[in-house]
Amino acid sequence: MLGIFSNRLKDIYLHRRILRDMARSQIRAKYAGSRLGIWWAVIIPLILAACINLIFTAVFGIKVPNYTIFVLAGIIPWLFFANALTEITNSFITNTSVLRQGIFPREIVPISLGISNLLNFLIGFAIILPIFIIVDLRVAGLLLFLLIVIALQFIFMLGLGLFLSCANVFLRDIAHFLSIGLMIWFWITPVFYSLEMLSFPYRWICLLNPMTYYITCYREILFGAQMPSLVNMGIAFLISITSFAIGYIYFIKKEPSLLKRI
Amino acid sequence: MKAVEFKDVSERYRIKFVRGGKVSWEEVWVLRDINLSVEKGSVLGVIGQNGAGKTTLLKLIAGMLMPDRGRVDVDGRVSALMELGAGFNPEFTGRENIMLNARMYGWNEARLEGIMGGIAEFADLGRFIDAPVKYYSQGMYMRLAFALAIFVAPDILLIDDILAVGDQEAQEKCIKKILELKKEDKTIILVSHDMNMVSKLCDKAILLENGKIIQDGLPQKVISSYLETAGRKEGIAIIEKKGYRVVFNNGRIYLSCNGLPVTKGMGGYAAFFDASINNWNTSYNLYWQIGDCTPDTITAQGRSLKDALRQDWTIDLKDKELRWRVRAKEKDMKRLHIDLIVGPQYSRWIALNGNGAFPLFSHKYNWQDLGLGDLPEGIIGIDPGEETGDLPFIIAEKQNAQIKLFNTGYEDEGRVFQCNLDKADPISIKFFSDKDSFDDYMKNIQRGFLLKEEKRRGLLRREEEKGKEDLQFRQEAERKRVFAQRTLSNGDLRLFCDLDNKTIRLYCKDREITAGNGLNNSFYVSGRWFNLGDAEWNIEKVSDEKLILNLDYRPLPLSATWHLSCSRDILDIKVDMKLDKPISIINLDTRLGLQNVYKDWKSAGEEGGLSVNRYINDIGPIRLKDNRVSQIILTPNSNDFSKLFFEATSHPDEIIASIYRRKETREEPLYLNFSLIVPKRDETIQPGNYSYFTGRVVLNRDVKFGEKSFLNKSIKINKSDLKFVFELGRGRIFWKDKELTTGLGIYTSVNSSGIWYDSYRAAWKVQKRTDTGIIASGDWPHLPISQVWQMELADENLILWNAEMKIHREVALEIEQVNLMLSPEYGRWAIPKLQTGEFLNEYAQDYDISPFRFWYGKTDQAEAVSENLPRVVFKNELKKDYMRAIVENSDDLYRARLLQYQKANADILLPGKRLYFKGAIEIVPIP
Repeated sequence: MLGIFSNRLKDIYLHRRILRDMARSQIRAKYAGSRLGIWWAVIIPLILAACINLIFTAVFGIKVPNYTIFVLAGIIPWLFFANALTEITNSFITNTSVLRQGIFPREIVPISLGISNLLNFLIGFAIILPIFIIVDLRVAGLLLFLLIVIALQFIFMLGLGLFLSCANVFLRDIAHFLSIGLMIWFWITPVFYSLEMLSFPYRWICLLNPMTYYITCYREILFGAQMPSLVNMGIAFLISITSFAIGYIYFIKKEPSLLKRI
Repeated sequence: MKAVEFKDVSERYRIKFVRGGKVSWEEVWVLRDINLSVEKGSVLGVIGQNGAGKTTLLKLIAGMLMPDRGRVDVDGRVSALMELGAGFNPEFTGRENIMLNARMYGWNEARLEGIMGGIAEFADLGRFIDAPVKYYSQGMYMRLAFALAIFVAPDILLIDDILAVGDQEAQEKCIKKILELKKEDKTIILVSHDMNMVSKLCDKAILLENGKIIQDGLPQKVISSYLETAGRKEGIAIIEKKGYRVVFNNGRIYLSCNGLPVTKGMGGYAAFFDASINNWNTSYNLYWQIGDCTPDTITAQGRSLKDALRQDWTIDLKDKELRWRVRAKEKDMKRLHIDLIVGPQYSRWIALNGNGAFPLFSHKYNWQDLGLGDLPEGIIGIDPGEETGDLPFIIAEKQNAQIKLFNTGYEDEGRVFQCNLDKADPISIKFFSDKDSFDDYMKNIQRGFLLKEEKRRGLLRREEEKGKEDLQFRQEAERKRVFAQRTLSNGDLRLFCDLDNKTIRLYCKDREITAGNGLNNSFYVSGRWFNLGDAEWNIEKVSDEKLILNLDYRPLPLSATWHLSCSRDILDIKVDMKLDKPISIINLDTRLGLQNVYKDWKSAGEEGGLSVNRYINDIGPIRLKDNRVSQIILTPNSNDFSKLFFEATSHPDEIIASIYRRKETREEPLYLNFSLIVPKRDETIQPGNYSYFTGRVVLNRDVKFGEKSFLNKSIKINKSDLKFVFELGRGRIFWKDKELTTGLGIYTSVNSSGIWYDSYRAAWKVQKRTDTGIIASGDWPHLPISQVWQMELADENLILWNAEMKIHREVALEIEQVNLMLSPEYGRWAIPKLQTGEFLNEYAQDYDISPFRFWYGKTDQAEAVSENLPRVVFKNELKKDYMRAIVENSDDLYRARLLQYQKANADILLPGKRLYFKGAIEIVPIP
């Protein structure tokens, strides 16, 4: 199995130029004809954060100091995750003509979508990052950890994406389910609240949700301005590896029959 | 080195069936246990019926599919040319699609720019390269896809039967490119239903059936076993004996010997005239049912849809002999023959009365008759040559029948036996594995034949000796009576209608003067020549001087009557034609085939020898400067024969005479031919009675020309010293009774598809004539055009020439030309203000060798100058940029100077009327 794995990855490396080209053209396609372009990656999380802030502080009267920063630290990685997952899940359906050609390893298609979303996220994030640093200068010293967390989340997302995109070919309901599923997932992920606000047994829902650990790590760095806890990092690491392995193996197993269905 | 390797590969599809709302899934194995390896640099052909798994095989190589079981190893970059349009985005332009696809193959912008030109040029899309591909035709799609697949420089190219979409030219271009790639050591895998293409391109082929490779090996072998087995299974039967195998497949027969195919292409089949479609049909268009199949015999029955046609075949294979019998309804048998096509390895033929080699393939698709004429004992053998030692020698035999041999065109490369089946005897095909037994057999038959001949001759002699014996006397009398019924004679001339060979023979002092087809006619209807041999004969002797020949050309709605009458040394010929339905006839010829006993010919205006040094397609023409003659006289080369005069008296203005030799199997007769000009505009002839030809043959006499010579048909107009003579599509200029022109004089010619058509070979009528002007119109044969010329002597030294062209149907005329052919006494030429020069006294040997050309360019005035003849100025007043003038010498036949104006047309001309030429010829006397 490991042999196949490393062959696959080598093959992807050989075709890295195509990977790059595809990711680049996807970004270009995303903002083609739009005036604000990449600024949308900044505007959307800011507006969302402002709305949540308004509703929860003004309407529900939540008392968290710096609540805007608190929400912002969670909403940015969540949006990245949700957008990327939606696009990846549909990738085999929307790119059939490319996949039929069989010139390069087919997983390049979902991976390139992951990369284009990652770049989109990084650019937007780089613009918002100074806000966090201004609020607390210590954040600047924790950027290395931030990069590690981003990498872990990216790997988790790829694994899940490969699985879903592949399953979606056989069961097209998955894409539809995903739109509602992501909404529910958002509510059970501590984005606009913190884990500590929940009491058991409800907290279990959050603890069994893998996204909790990534979001918590982000928040520890950006909002708490401290090193993320090793426990959280460890769990996130395990989840990422497992997700990627399961997703990829599933894809390899299903690839022959997948080709007959697209 | 392997480029592609399959190891125990199986591929399965799960297919969803929805029947009455109930969904069920079924597994279908499209490929099963495929083992295959393709060497680098080889071309593999994949054939098989639809659904055999060919495309799946290609998809596995291309990586579009992955095997469910087994392994597929591919070494090299693959480019696939499959399902039309795959990989193209219909909204993008051709150029954008190329960019998009090429980038996927890892090409960067800079390299792309480099190959873009090549792709665009190969695809030949013109400006459509910048149009969205959704507007493309299938052929354009194909060319673009093919260009792309080739130019991304693959190591392995896969082609899935899409070449069939393109037109002839595009296909040929692609095939050429495939051959180039083959030379560059690329691996090519080709799926095709075009067996010709597979056999031409591939080194190896595999045959797929129901997902399995059932045969692999040399393309010819694989193709023949595919052809044997493809088709409705109810109509297939096989018998096999001692290595010889006969496959009957729905109205076709395939033969093979020890696994080696003997037949080629369509194999053996019956062709017949199908009255219901008024065209030729073949046995494989019938619905076949095997009646009986024993180890020796196959019987089968074929029917047409409404049972209008029926054929019964019996095929026996006994001891290296195949007997093939075809039976049909009595009336259908008449126009029924069988064709058996064998491979081109057979290079020689042997009959009892001669042998020879098959000629090279000379036509593209048309069959070429070897013209073997009658074969004694109806037997002919063919020899596979030495290199292909495994193929059997073949002898075809049919009593009382004509077997003909043909070459197919070079696209198909095969030899054909063709045999009429008017009697229901079987044709026998014998195989011989070695040359000795083959020769022995032939020799045996030959011995028997010679003995019989000897005996027959002996009998004849004895009959003469015992002429008084009653019985034989009566037989002789009967023979003589029949003979007399078919004979006319008067003076030295005797005519005999040879009913057995359907020819008319002429004798002078009891020695035959005719040869080849004798006195005959031929006309061209619905794609085929017909002559006396194609008709049903009925001879009626009216009196001692007169004989009537009724000819029925059924199934053509045409009959003819020959009135032949003899007075002293003169044979009068009158041929009438009757049509029952409108019919399109292109040629109407009457000809006389003669022995090689004549040395000179003479017509009203010229004379010459009868030797020929150049043959084109076995025909050696003797060139006449003037073909518009209706009388030809031949002088014999010894006193044993007399002079012969052949004259056409009908249609005097519309006759073209020609003299040629034709290489036939055993002789090389000389033909005198009169052909009637049939203008293309009215080649469909309405029902009715027509005069086809009247004329006469005269022996022993010096007939004077003159009275009826062409000069009589000419029209003269003059103004003081200048005289102009119009003669059926050409004009001659005289100054003080000295002719300035020569040969064809003033004439026009157009070129269509590489062939020149001169005005002087058209049918002309004078419409109006005044003291100084002529208006005449001419209808071209073979081309749907007419011209109206208006000639006017405007001055005592100026001829105005105005020509108008009518186009009746769309036609391609590549070149339009007006010509002035002048006497060789003109030594210099001049283009005023530009250049002058001398005419050389050298002439090209033949008309298709490039002439001696002195000047070519744009001018509206060209002159010829002589020391003692007036200067001739040829002016063009049709101010068109593309008109060019030419100054050159004619060929050796006319030895003349030519001043010409010509223009080239790129497009097809549409029906209508247009100005063809407007100009003038000015005669400037020497001061």
